[in-house]
Amino acid sequence: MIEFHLDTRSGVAPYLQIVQQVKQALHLGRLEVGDQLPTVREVIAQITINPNTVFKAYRELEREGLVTSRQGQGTFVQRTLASTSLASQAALRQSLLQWLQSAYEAGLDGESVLALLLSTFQETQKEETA
Amino acid sequence: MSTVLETTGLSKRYGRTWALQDCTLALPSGRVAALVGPNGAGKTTLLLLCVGLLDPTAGSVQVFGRSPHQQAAETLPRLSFVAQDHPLYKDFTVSDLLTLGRRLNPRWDDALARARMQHLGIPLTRPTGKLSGGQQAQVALVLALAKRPDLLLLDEPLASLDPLARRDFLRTLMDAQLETGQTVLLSSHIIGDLERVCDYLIILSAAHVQLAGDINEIARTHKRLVGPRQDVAAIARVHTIIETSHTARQTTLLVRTSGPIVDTSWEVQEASLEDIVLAYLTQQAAEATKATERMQAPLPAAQEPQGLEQEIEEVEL
Amino acid sequence: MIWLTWRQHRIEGLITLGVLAVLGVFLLITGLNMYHDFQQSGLSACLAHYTDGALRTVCGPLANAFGAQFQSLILVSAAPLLLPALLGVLVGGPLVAREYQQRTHLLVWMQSVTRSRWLTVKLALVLGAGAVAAGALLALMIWWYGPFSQLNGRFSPPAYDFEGPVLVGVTVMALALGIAAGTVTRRTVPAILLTFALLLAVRYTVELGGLRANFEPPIVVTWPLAQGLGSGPPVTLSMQDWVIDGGFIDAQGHITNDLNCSGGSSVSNAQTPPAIPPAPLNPLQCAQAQGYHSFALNYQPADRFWTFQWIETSLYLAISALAVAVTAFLVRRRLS
Repeated sequence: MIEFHLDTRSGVAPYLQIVQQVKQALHLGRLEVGDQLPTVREVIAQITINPNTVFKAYRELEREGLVTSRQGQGTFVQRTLASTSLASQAALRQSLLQWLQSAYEAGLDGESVLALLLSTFQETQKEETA
Repeated sequence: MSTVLETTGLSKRYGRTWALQDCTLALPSGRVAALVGPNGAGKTTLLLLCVGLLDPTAGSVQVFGRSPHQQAAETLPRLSFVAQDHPLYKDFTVSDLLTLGRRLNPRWDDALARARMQHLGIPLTRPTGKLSGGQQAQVALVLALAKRPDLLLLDEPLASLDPLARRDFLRTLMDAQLETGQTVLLSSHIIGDLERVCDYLIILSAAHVQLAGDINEIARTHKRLVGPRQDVAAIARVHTIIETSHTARQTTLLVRTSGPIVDTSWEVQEASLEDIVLAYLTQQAAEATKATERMQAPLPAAQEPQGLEQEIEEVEL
Repeated sequence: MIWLTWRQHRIEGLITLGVLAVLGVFLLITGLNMYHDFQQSGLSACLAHYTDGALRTVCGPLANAFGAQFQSLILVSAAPLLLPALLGVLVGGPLVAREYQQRTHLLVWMQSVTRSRWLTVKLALVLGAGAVAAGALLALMIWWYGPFSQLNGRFSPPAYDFEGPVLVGVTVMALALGIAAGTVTRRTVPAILLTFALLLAVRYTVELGGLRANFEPPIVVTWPLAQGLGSGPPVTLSMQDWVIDGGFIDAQGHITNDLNCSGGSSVSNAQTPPAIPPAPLNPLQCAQAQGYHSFALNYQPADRFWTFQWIETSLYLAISALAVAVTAFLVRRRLS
């Protein structure tokens, strides 16, 4: 079962953090269709959090069609987010390794690689929302 | 959604000092509200006014539409209060305290109280004075919860607890919150603990309310702006600047936005709740310092070098 | 609320009960012994037979013998004077003070009882229990002191304090003052000290300060000096009357016992001691030489005993009411 954690210093609203963590689990295949999300009581036991926050997060996930709540039974995953198959992910992973190799050969260290990745990624995000 | 707690221009004076001034709040029901502010800001005074243990000097406070001080008989059964350092009768056993609750409260849920004590592993036959600090806090909380209040107020409940005890305390509180959907108001001068459990925020500083509202709303409308060092007048015209800080090359602002930020010279970042609270408190502290400085006469510059020489002489001796 | 009051004060209640029980057993045993002797020695019959005038002459020896035998027991009569003070100081003082001091008032006043109800029940139970305890002690003491009250009377101290409702009044007042003191000081030790001081002040004013002696104007009897030193007053006084004061009447009309019989002038010149010791004067001549003309006696007659008891009890109850009002006002208004 998925276990949540809360980062109170990130500036990201707690309910969004839960939503993001569920989505990430779906992306990585850690959650599959039919899996049950922890009950609100279980989430409170894991991370001391306001129950309304959990309700809000689950409602948001339900609104996006990712989960469905069944009366008296719990909240279950309805749709997965792994849109690309594992095979194509393997191919992407391979090209990434090759790029990293060339970056190191060009003389970039770990931090520079990350900085380059992050700034390029943020640019693409900006273009998406614009 | 109804408001469980309403204050209008609420003020309290002790002798010549105003402990609380012109406090106007409306706390919606079902919220877990954090009351934050530095020591001496008036948090305890506000809580005591809300439960009717103090009466206002000016303004009014209403819980469930009634004055808690004047109409104590009607409001007391629906209110619970855990005072600072969670006082208990030290020579009473836990069981005695449960009996106290049962006899003095019409809405007492004895089964719930006993179940919680058992769940927490607190022995019923031990005198409360012999329990650990964390356990005493839990006992005080369970006593307050077993009364089945509609409004629960806690004064710095986490202050004297170690991190483990704090987590356990909040967990008990959140469990109860899930079951009853009661309204909670707890005060603290540490914000970090409260971010995860509270969905409403009240900032109190220097006897005044600085900010009050839904936490998600506050997070949404407060942003950190980072940019090259520049004049802030343009931004100040559109949004409210809470805190400004300049370095040689950079200006950082914390603003309350009234709409989207269109000025591209600023990078917009999310601000954590702790940053927002600190910004409001810093602003208040800065204003207080300015007021004090205006009142004090400046020191004559000639004194300083002499003092330094004297210091050196003393050290050499 | 009744349960809570009992739970908080059960130790004090049990101790008081225990002390009363021990005292009761002691009084019972010694009292039966005294009554037995009272009968056997013939003192009882003697006192019943002769009028008060013959008391001193006929029954005198028997009375003295009886008194000498049970002299030490008179110390027991101090107990009724201590009990109210102890209750007031040790039970009343901490009652409210401890709640403030340990901040448990923030716990108990936030249960569903109002502060007024909390205080009302506590006061009623504690003051009521104190009155009952005092009443029990009173009954015991009246019985126990029986023989002595015939010999020494009951109007004068210390008997007066345990021969009537005054004992109950003092107990209730001590508790009420203690509770009020605790509410004012909000700390246990200062409450104890304040209660003690207040009790002392009230009791001093009543007993030694002359308040009790003047509940009704005392009857003053005078008779001329010429009748001689051994002469008695023209009225016949019994042991049941309370003689407040007696002596000579001086030039200002006050009763005084000042009798300076050193002879000659009272101002001696240290440098010239008298060469010849002067001839001693007899007391009557001394008195006359000092300008006294009459003996005087002021007293309260025995038939005023119950009036005085009720006046004094009412006074103590009035003080109690005042203390309760102060307590109620402060509890409602003040927080810490």
